[in-house]
Amino acid sequence: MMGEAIVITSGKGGVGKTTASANIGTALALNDQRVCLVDTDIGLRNLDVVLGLENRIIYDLVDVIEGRCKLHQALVKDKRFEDGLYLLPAAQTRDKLAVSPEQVGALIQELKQEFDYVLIDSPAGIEQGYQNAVAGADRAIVVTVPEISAVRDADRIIGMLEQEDIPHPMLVINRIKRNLMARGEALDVNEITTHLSIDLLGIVVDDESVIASSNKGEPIVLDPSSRASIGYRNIARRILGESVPLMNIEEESPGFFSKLKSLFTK
Amino acid sequence: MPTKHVTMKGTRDGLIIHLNDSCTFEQLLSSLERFLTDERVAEKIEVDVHLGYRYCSEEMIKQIETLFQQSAYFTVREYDSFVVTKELCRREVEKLKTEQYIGIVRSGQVLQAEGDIVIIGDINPNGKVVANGNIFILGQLKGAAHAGAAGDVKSVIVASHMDPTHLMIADVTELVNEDSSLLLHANRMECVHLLDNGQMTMSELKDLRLARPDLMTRIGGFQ
Repeated sequence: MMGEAIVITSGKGGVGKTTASANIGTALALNDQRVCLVDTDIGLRNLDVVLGLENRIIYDLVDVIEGRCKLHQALVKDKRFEDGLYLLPAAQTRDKLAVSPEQVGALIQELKQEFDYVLIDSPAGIEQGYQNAVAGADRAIVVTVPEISAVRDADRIIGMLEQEDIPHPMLVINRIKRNLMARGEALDVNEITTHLSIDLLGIVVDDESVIASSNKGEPIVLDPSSRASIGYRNIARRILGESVPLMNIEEESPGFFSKLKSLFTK
Repeated sequence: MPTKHVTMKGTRDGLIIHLNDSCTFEQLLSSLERFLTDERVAEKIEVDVHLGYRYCSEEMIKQIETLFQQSAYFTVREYDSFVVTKELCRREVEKLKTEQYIGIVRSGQVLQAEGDIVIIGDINPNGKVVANGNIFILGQLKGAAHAGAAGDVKSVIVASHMDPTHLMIADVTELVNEDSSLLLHANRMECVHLLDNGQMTMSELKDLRLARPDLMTRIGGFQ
């Protein structure tokens, strides 16, 4: 049974692609899936940092493509999981032009033989780095935040994905600030989804502990009490085909939340 | 009687000179030359020339035209013929064709059409539609639209929800911002066309019916 390759992209930088990749990957692994995360941001890698695997890298993606090592030698295993989560890090000393889309595509094909899910973390932009990232993908997740500039860029990237023959990109709206949205000062979830007219895979509310956990090298999704964590866990469950209702961002009272929490932490 | 290759007929719209299409072209030219020197009319008149089923290349038309230019009495208003080349016909059909597109025209995308285009979907900001004919949008126009891109000032832009950034018809451009004279009305279909003075205007459906009756192939009321 071949696995599925999903590229995580956004066009705009700084919307949380890497955080989303780390957390969705970890959440899938928590659901007993074998997951490989691939960092294609050559030259500006940081998926390894967010996962806390920085100091265990020996080889990287460019080494594999240029034949300096075997694929499995470059995979960094996440010890928090038995055999569930691996990272193929990007090279830090090279740039996007070090590899071609065809080479990355072939590499992803190889990983799909072995893993249930291959998540590809894409660099910002629409140039070669993006082309490399989408080359082997079967599906795409577009990450955006409720800001007009990020939504514009998401629209551009969705148009490009549609031309790549990657059907039906899925949308993740990240860093939702409840207060702003309730006051109508930020774009709301409905507005963004209708504007981009693609399926909404999930929403993640803004949570300061995401930054703290990234700095510690522990994806927030490992902490079941965080609000952002629930968002990512829901996303993973939807990827696995479960139908999970959208988190209600407006009516969140402590009572409601503890109910939700008890649902997801059993 | 060689001159029977060339006959002149009067119609309600004026005189038409019919050129025989079964004789050779040389015969036709000499007949025409004789006709133009023999025929005398009171004053210089404009005529239409009908070539029948003979296909004439541009070169051949030029030879006919030369004869007319030498004549003191006739000038040609228009050449007509029952035949055209396949290529010309294909190009004409292309222009008349209405293309359809289903989907969203997204940021950075440009959708182009030879003739009219119907878009079932939205044009998002920074997306653009360019057509040589009319543009009809069954959705929201939030980006840019250019109708009559080859210069047809009669072209129109219609959208079920008008919220554009740029509107262009032929070579008239309107930036739709707070300085624009175009008034946007939410929740109703809007039609954009050029007035006779070249100014762009946005109006309701009923105004389009009056301004561009040629757009309709069905007129009148229905039961």
